Amino acid sequence: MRRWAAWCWLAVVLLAGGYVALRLHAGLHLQSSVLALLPRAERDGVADQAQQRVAEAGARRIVLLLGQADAGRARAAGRALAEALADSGLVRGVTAMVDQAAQQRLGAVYFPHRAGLLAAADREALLAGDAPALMERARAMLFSPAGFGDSALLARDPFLLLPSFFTALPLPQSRLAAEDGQLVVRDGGLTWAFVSAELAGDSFSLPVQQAFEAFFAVHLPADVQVLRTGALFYATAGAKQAMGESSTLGAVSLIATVVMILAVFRRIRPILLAMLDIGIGITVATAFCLWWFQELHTVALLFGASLIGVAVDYSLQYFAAYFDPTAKTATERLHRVLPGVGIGLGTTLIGYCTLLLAPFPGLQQIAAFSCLGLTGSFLTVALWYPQLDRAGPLPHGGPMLALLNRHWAVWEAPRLGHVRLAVLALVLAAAAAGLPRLQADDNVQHMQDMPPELKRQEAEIQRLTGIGGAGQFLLVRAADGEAALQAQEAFLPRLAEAQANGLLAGFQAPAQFIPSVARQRQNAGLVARTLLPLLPAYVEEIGLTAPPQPAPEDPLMPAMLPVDGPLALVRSMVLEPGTQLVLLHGVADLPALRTAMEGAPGIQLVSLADDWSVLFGVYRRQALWLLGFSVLLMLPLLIWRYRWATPRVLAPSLLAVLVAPPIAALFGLAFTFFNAMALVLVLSIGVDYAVFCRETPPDRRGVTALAILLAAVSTTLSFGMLAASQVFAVQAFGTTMLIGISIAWLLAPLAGGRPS
Amino acid sequence: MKRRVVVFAVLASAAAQAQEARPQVLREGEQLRGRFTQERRLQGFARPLRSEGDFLLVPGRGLIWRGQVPFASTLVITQGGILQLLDGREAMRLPASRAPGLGQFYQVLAGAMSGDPSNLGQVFNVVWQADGSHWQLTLTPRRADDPGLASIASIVVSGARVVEAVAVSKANGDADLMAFHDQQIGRSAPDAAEQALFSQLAP
Repeated sequence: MRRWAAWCWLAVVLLAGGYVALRLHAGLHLQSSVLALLPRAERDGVADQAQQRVAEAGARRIVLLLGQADAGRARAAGRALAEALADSGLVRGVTAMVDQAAQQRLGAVYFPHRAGLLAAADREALLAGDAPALMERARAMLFSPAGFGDSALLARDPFLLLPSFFTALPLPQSRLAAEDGQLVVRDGGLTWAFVSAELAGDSFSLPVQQAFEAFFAVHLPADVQVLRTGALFYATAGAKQAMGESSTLGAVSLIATVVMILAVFRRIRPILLAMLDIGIGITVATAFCLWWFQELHTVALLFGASLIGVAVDYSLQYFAAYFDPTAKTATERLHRVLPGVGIGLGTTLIGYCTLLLAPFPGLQQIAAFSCLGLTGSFLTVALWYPQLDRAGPLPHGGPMLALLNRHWAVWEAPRLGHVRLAVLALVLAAAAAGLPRLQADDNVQHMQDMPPELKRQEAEIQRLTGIGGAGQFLLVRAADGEAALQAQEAFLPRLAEAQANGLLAGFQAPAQFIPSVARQRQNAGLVARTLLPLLPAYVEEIGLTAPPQPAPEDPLMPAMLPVDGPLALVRSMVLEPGTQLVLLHGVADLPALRTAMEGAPGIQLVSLADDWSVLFGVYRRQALWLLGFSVLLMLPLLIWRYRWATPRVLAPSLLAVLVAPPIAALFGLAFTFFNAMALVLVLSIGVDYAVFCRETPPDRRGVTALAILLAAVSTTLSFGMLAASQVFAVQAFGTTMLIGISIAWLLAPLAGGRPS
Repeated sequence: MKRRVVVFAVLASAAAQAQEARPQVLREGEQLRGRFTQERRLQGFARPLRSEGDFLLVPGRGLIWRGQVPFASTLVITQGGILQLLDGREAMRLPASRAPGLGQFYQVLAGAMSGDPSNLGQVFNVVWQADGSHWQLTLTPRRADDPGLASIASIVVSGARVVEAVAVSKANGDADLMAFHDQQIGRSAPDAAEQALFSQLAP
């Protein structure tokens, strides 16, 4: 029967492995969008698409400024870099020069439709009855040495309203000056040459990052200052750090764990078995999640794999039984530890399954992944270990077990009462001291680790050029394109006012480039009513004899805009005719801006970083609720098994969960979603330790103490090491684990032992 | 507009270009003040557009062109672009990044101000004539398709000690004539109002 079950399990494992291999072969794409973590009911296909569009466009762009006191040298360096980039094949397009042809194309597109095109300021002037001012401006332009126009232009646009409309267009790079055809910005004594490029590859791909590293090592001259920004540089720095860190921390923890197991057991077999166990857990979990959810989120994989790590504790219970001289065979060893491991698995599954109750796909995936992985690992221990392991008991455990018996003694010896009190008092005092410093932090910018030097350069580039990451935008939704443009025209004055009040640095809206047909008709009417009456006198004054050629009434339609050149931007802001984006730049005060835009119909202010932060807050609170709820759900199982001893079994882990956050706060760490997830782990692991202890008869106490010590040390080595990480979120997670697991381990024997 | 901008590049550079024929060259820290009369002869107009006023040219900063007749207006041209003021209020502002011709203008202006006219030769064929104390430069665009100069047929700059006249002829028959007088080369800094005008266009 048992053999038959083992073979069945092998078939399942092979099936799962085959499925994962198949998906990997087909090009497995891990989901990494924050939106995939949102509750399905709250997911919004259009907002999804808009965010993705903005994020992708932003992720491919890099901006460099090359600064030098000598303007000529700065320009030469910028030009050389732009040419090298264009020749490198690494980028799709480079912007460093003013594109004259593009400017002329712009004119050609707009000119036939000039009748309804008015700059916002001109429209206001006309509405305010200030038509003569526009007439005087046109006259001054005509007379000035840099003056516009010949009779051909003046006959068609006598008040030069179209040039004014052009000047007001919020094209990108409008804070830059042109010198020698090249885009530059002057600041203090320095001239900065502007070079921007769109990557051909993915910023987050390692080969792309390496190719750019090599490129910049060669092509950035030493005699200029360089400012750079773009997802590429952040991703490169992040990957370098993560690799450096995870390879160091990972190697240290792996080596330490292996050394520990070798030192304790003096055998290689436990290591091989444990690796098999964990590997199967992860494979089975991945296969199921990919099949069930059809996709796997990186967050789920990351936390799920961590949670499965608990499975090694079950193996360690089994391995420690090598030192039990009464357990002669693998089957006997299994029988000794199975009750504890079974109850432990039960409580842990209950704990993780509560995460399934949350309507959040991220938590559901984590829960499903961990439950399946743990079950898979458990089945591997229960079904395969007896088949794979033919070893007898190990003889060298005596001194170790004698030593570890003292761990129990601390909690049981009548003469050590004061020690127990002192330990508890110390833990509680530390928690009490940390409590006032405990605060939640959901800011996504704190979760990611942004190198301060890159942040400084980004801020500097934004100050100099006005170009910054467009992580914020307004999503405009209406029945059709015309309605969307009209909606923008209704709220753009409010946005302009917000800009004047310093809430943001600038914005770009499709309606600024293509006024709605209604607005174009209004404009034409306004001009006819207010300006055209001035025309005869004006024509007489300047002596224009060329017959006026009124502009045709032919409204500009969105489809008429060219798809390349400067107006490509406008096309990219129109997702669908009725769904358009208004890009916001340099948002200084998001809450105030939100308030200012409140009540405008059909618009939604979207802020990528902000949305991440809100989501992290929601996930953090959800995780805490579910943590409390899972304790309740564990109770029936624990009460069924332990009756009146249930509070003793729960006490160590509950105490660990309660005191770990304030003690972490003592080290200046805020409480984030990652800490909450660490607490879920601390609870399930802590309950396991207590259960293992509770299930242990007096003669096996040393064995169990050894098992939970090894479990605590290996958990600390794999998670607690993360406390040394430079990445804030990882550090928060690691520190909470380190503190929580230490306390849960220390207090575990409080659960008491099974009477002999 | 681009064409007109080029005219002033030439105006500025003429002082430097004509160095051999003994016009005075503007040096670092110097400025040129004077009065102008301007006549635009445009096709399709009954009469030339005449205006007069005064100007200030400060190397490294820019040009202020103050019209007084037939109406008051102020135009500022700097690295940053062009600013038109009427009654002291901003009527039009054109950043250099929106007017590619301005880039060429500054290339030429900078060359002229530093006393190095070589840049001029890159864009124009230069014919030089001197007659006693008077000199004359005739410039024709090297490339017919140069977008900043496309409509310019020729530019004639003439003067004695300093530049005295500029005539721009367009391919369509339009012509702009500028004459300068009362020119003074000074070393005193521009006054506060002028400084303020320049700084309004600081890049």
